[in-house]
Amino acid sequence: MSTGGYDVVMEIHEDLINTFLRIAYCLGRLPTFEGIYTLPVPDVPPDLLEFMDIGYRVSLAREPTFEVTDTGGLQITIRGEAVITLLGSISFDLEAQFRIAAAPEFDQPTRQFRIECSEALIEDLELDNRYHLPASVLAKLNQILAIGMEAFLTDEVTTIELSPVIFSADLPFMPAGEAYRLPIGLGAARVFPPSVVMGAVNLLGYTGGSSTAVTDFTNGHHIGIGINEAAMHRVYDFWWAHTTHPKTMDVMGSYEYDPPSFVDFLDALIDWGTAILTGGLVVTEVDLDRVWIEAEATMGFSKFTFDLLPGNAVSLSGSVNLEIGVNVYMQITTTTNLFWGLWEVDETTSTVELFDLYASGITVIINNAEGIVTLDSSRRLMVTLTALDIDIPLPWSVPEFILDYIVDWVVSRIVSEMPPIVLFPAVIEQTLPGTAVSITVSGETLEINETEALVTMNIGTSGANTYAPYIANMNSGEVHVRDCDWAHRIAQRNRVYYCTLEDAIADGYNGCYYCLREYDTG
Amino acid sequence: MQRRFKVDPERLKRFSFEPFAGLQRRIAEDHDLKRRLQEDLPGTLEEEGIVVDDAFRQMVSDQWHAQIEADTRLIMATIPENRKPYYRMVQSGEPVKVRVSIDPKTGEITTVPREEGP
Repeated sequence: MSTGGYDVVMEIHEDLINTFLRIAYCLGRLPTFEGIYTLPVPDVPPDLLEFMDIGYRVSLAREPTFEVTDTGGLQITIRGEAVITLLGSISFDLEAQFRIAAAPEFDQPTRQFRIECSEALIEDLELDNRYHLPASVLAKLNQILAIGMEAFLTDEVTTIELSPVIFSADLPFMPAGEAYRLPIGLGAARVFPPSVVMGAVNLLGYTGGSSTAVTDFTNGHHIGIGINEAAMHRVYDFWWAHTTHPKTMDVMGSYEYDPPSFVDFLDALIDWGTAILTGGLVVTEVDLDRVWIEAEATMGFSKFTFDLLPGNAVSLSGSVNLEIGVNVYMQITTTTNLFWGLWEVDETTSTVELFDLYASGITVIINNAEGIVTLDSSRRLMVTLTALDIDIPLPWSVPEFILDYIVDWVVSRIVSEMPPIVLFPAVIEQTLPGTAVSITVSGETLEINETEALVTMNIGTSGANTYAPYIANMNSGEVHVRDCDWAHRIAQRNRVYYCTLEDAIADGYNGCYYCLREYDTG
Repeated sequence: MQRRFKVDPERLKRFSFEPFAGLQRRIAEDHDLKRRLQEDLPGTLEEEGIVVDDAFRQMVSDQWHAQIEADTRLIMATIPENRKPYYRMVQSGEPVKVRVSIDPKTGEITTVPREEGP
């Protein structure tokens, strides 16, 4: 069992993590940090205290990269730009490369993968040595910088969101409110070298599962989501108990019969109509205008029981409580001849009710039902029915053509009105929370075995045009912030998107007079 | 659909609604009665002492429905077994049993009687 007994297992490939780190970097989700470090020198005269302060400002020079190590650890490599300020006004530019050890986490409230940073190590440091400081001073600067960056990276930026929302906590047709969202409990996290990170959660108070029993089922895809059958039952039971989807419906139907349907009863129909209208006392000719049936019913559905079978098959059973009324009518026009055909004296069109049928408390049994597990258009896990046995205890000995309609109508209404069988909410929400970045899914596979459903897919995102904070105009040579009115007027063919203003300026663009005035050089 | 049928009075004789049955016997001999019934059926019935009230209508309806049930049984008995699967199930006291297939792509429903097994 790939899910190891957990309700839900989510596995994510490091390539996808790096995709979302690039987006996070471009969106500025990996912030700049700055502060002041005071040298621990005792007994400094008050007028010299300010010279004990070392200011620092660090920002990311490039997007971080994430890696699963061969030994099963996680690390992030960050290259940062730092500005160090000494003696109040002397500034040094440098770049530092950090390697950060991290552990994977699945965040319950947001249902996204995150990583928890545990320690940072400076791998490389480049200082713009314009002031020719002694080596010993440089070494001390490195120590200060290391302390400051470690503190920042472990205290202030301890978690980084890495993924889209893996699955929704919202089921369809549920009341609003937190009580009707799926409660999620943390299970475990684990790394599958060389490239996959796993998180497992349980639902609705369940606490079982073993991380050592979980296997990598991504098969090279960006994401794999495994859902245990036990979780499906818990989700369906929870949904059935609270859903606003109607379980009892009133339905109506009618049907006009064509003569071939009742050819065996043609003479009888004429007799029945004439007899009730004339008592057989007068000679008439009869036009048979219409024969039709009207039906109405109240259907109350019970919760289904289901069981996953090998090869993506589901067996189901249930019942429907039925109250049904059926009326069969004919419309005839009778012509009464006076003087035996010399002229017509009375033509009357009448509707005759041939059958008035009613029954209540009927239990329709649904058995040997078969279905398949599918992902619907919202990527919710559902059961799609493909076949079923229906037993309808009808108490009426009426002509077969009437029973034919009643049975076909009841069956079609049961199938069409049946509440959905919801096994799991939507997987992979359509947008990255708090952004305009949309998520696309491709290469989707759904494998069902007897105990679980395994979904794998590749994830794509909308392009930089939907999230890059800076937009340059190839025509005018200006760069704007995204929300600038002038940015909105740039023709699509002239747009160039940038994640950092520095890159745009390095490419020769000038800041917009209105939105980036400090970078407008005229 | 309109199709014109001439009614066969002989066939209607089985609908012997009392007191109509008495009138039917007299019509064969009394042409004047026949003419009066054709000219004014309700008025003539009243003259003959037949009060058409709710109780009368219910009595006639009950007799009429009973004849329909009898006619149905007779006609159904002449229809081959393979053309009346649901009727046979109902007559035997069993539920109507069907096997339903649903095309997962189109949603088209196919229903066939299920006469063997559970």
